[in-house]
Amino acid sequence: MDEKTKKFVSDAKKSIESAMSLPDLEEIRVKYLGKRGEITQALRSLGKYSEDERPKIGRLLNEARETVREMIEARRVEISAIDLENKLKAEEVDITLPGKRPSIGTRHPVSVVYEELERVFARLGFEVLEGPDVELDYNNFEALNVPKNHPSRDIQDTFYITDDIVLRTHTTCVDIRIMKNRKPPIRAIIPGKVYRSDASDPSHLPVFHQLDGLVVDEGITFGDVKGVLARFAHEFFGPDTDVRFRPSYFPFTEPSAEMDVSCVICNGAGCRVCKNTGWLEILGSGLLHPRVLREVGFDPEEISGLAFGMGIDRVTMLKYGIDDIRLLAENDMAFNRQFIHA
Amino acid sequence: MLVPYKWLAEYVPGLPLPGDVAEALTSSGTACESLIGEGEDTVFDFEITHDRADCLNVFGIAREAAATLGLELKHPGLVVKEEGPAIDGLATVKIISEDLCKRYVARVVTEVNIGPSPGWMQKRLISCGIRPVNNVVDITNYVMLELGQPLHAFDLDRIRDSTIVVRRARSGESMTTIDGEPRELSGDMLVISNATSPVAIAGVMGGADTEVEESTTQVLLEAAAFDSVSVWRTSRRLKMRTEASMRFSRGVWPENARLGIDRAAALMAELKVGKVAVGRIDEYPGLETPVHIRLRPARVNRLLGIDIDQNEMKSILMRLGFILDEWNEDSCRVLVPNHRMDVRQEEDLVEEIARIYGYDKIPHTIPKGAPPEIRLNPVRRLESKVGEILRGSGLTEVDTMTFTSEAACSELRLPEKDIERYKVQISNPISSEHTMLRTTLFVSLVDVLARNASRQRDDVAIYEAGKVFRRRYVEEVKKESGREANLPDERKMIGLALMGKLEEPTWTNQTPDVDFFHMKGIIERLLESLGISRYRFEKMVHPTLHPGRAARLVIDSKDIGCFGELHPTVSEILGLSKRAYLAELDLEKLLLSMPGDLEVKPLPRFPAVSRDIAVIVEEDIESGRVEDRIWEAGAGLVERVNLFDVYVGPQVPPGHKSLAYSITYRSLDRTLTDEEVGAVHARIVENLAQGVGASIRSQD
Repeated sequence: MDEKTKKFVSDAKKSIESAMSLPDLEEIRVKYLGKRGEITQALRSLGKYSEDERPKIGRLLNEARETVREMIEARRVEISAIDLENKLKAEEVDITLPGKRPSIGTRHPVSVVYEELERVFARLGFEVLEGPDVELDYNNFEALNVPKNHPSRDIQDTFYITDDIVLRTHTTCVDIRIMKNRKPPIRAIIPGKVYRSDASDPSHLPVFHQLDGLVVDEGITFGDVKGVLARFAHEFFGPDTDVRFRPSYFPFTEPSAEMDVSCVICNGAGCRVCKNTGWLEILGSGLLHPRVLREVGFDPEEISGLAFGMGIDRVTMLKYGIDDIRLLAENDMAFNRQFIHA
Repeated sequence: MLVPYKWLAEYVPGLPLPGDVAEALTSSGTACESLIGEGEDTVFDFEITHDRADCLNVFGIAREAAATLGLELKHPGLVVKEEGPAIDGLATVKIISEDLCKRYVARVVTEVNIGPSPGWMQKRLISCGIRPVNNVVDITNYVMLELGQPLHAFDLDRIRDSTIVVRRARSGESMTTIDGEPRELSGDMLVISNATSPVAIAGVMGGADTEVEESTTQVLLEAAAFDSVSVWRTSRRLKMRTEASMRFSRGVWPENARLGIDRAAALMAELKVGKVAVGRIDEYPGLETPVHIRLRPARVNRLLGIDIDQNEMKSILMRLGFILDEWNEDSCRVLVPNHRMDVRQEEDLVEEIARIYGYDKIPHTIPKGAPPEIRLNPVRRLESKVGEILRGSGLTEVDTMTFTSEAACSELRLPEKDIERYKVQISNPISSEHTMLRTTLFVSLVDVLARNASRQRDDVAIYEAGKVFRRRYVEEVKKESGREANLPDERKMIGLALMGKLEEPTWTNQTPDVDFFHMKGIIERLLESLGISRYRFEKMVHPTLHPGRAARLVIDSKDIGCFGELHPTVSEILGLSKRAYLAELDLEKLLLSMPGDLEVKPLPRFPAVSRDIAVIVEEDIESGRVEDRIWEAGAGLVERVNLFDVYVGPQVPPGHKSLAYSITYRSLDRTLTDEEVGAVHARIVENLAQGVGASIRSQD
C-alpha cells in the first residue's frame, strides 16, 4: 500500500506540474481528491484492510491527500500569477494615444481681470456695486461737474438716447447714486460697461469696460489716493511694480492725478508698448471735487472722498499681451478658448 | 500741442536739456507725450488737460516750465512802433451782443506790403503744424501759437464803411468762409459784421470777402474774447473745428486780447509789413473783477495728508503768478492771475501747491477710518456661480457689445411692433449696425455663432451674462415719478448658445452634434446646481426659435426664460451650416427662485427597489405628463423616475410610442416588501391607463 500511495503522490505531482491552466488543475483535483477521486476512493475502501493495517494505510492515504492538496494549491497560486501576468500584458495600451477629455468652458479674459480686481479690492474693504448702463445725463455729467451745453463735454464723445439720457461714458455716474443713497463710510468699486462714440480700431471700441472706485469718509486725504492705488498696483501687477502719480484733470476731482505703473512688458527699460517711456498710464484718480460732494449733500468741510477709474480692456490687454482691443469683443473661439488656464 | 524747444527756451533762459524739461513738466501736470527730433531742434508734443487753456501756447508752457523748474520767465516784446495815422478815423467797432463778447480789441496797419514771412517764422509755424500763407496771416498765427490769443486780419478796404459790428446772426443770413464753403447762419451764432452783413463767424473763421490778399493795403487786426460756450456750439453746429475755435471753446481770457494784438502789431512793424496806426480800439464790456480765494494752509495739509511749510506754500504760489494779498497762519487771501481761468476755489490752490511741491513727495497712506461692513453683491455672486457651472458643462464665456440694429432684430424674426415698442434708440449712432440697445441676448449670441461659423469654427458652446434693455411703457412711466422713470428697464440675463459638437470626437467614438436635449440638459444641470428643483418646462412659440422645439422655463409659475432650436430660416440667413440652440434666462429671477442654505438629508438607511416599466401611449402624449402620473400614484415611495428608452417602430401600433422608465422605490423608515412595491406599482399602472391612456408593453 505504501507503494500505491507513493505512486498517487508522484503521479499527481507530475500532472500538477504540467498543468497550465486552472481548469486543468481542477481536473487533476477531481481525479485525486474529488468525490470519486482516486485517493478519496482508496480512503473509502479502507474497510477491506485488516484492523491492524487500517490505521497505517489510513494515515498514509491522509498524508498523500494533504500533500496533493498542497501541491494543487501551490500550483493554483502559480497559475493565477501567470494568468494575471498574461492578462495584464494583453491589456497593455499605447499610453501616447490621446485621452478622452470632458469638455470644459473658458472664461472671457475681461472677467478674469474683473474678478482678480474684485479680490484685490475686497481685501481693502471695498464692496462691489453696480448701476444702469443707460443713465441720466445728470448722474453721468451734471452732478459730476460737467454742465450741459459746455465745452467740457468734448472730453468724452457721448451716445445720447434723449437730451437727458445718455449711455454712461464712465461708471463714475454710479458714485452719485451711491453717495445719494448711503452715508459714509463708503468703500465701493463699480464695474461695468461704458460707452463712447468712438469708431472701432485697434485701441478703441464704442463699448468697453471700466472699474471705478469710491471711498468717502471723514479725513480722506490725497495721500490715501496714492496709498490705496499703490497697494492695488503692487497686488495686481506684482510687488516690484513702480508707481508714479502725475497731476491731471477730471471735472469731478480736485486735486486730480493720473497713475502710471512701470511698464509690465519691459520693466521700465522702454519698449513699443510704453512708447519708450518705461511707464504705462493705468488710471485716473483724485479727491472728490467739493462741488460733487455738495451736490450729493455732503459738506466738503467735514467729508472728503477719493475716486478712481480704470479701463479694464487696457489692463487686460497689458496682462495678456493682446495688441488689438477688438479681439475682446469678437469672441472668436480661437481667441477665447486660449484662456483655459487664465 | 507741438512746441519747439528753441522757441520755448527764448522765454526761459537757462532751460535744461529737452529730456529733463519733458520729465519735469510731465511730473507737474503738463504731460509730454513724445519728443520729436534731437537736441536744439527737439519739438515737444504736450498733452494739455482740458482745464488748462492757458497752456495752449508756447508762452503758457514757458510759464509752467519756469514755475516748475524755478527759473526766470522772459516776456515777449510788446513795444509797438506806431507811425501811421490815428486809428480813430480808420475804423469803428461796436459790440451789440455783449454777453457773447467780453472784449474786442482792434488795430490797423496801413501801407501793407503782402509777401512771404521770414524763413524763421515759417519754420516755426511748420514745426507746429501750421502752413505758412503770407506775412500778415503768418503773424496772426504766430502770435496765436506764442500767446494763445487767436487773431484775425481783415482787409480793411473790403469792410464796408470800415465798421465792425459784433452781433448775433440774423436767421437766414449766410456767408462764404475763407475755405470757400457757403455757411448758413442761425440766430444764436455770433458774427462779426460790417454795417449790414457778416464778414466773419466770430472765433471760428473769417469770410472770403474780407480775406487778406496780394492786393491788400490796409489791415484791421482783431483780438477778441468771445464766449467759449457760444464758439463751441457754433463750431459744433457748423462742423468747423479750427485752431481759433478750439482755443476759444476752451477759454481765452480777456486780458490776453491786448497782449496778443500788441505783440502782432509789434511784429508787423518789426518785420516791415506796414505802418501800424496810432492807438487801438478797445471795447471791453466784460471787464471782470479779479478773483480772490481764501486759503487755509492747515486745510491744504489736511487734504493732502502732509505737512508742507507755509513758506514753501507761499513760494510755490508766487512762482505760479498768484499774488498773496494777505497771509495769516489760519487764513490767507490769494489773487488769481487772469490767465488761470481754472483756479476758482481753495481745492484748486491745493492742487497747485501739490503739483509743484511734487506729487511723488506725498506719502502713501491707507484711509484711517474703519472700513464699512461689506455687503456681498448677490447678483454678482450668482453670476459667478452660474459661470462656473456652465464652464463645467463645457460652455465658453463670451462678452459682446450691447448694441444691435433694427435690421439685426428683424433677421431674428422679431415682430416689427415689438422692436418698435421696446427699442432704446441711440440718437447719434456712428454705425448702421449699432443703432439701438439689444432687447435680447439672442442677437449677440447668434452674431458670435455666425462670426465663428464664417471662420470655419462650427463647434461652438458659449454663454454670456449680460444686460438687455427695454423701453418702458408710457403708462409705466406715468406711474413712477421723477427722472429715473424715463430710464429703460435693464435686466441681467444669462444667454447660452450651442452649435455643432459639445464634446470633441475621440478615436474610439464619434460624438454627435448637439440637439435640443443637450441644451435642456445643460439648463437642468444648472438648475440642479443652484438647488432649484421646483421647475417646469412648457411648450412655447418664439419667433426666433423652431416652432416645434422651443420651451419656456417656469419656476413657481414665474416665467424665467426660454430655450430652443434656432429657427431654420434665421440659421440660413446667418449662414450657419449646423443646427444651433439658444437659451436666455433672467438672472435676477433665478436668484429669487433659489433656496436658502443647503440642508443635508440623512443617508438612506433602507434599501431601494427598482422596477422597470414600458408603456405604450399615443404619440402626442408628452413624456412629462406620463411622469407626472407616475409620481402622482407613487404614494410617497417613489424616489426617482428615469426615462431610459423612447421607441417608435414596428413593435408598437402606428401613431403610438413606447416609453420605458426605471422607477426607484424607497421608504425612509422601513425596508419595502415585494408586496408593498407591487401594490404601488400596480396603482401606477392603473393611473397611467386612466390618466394618459397608457397600455403596458412590459414590466419586470
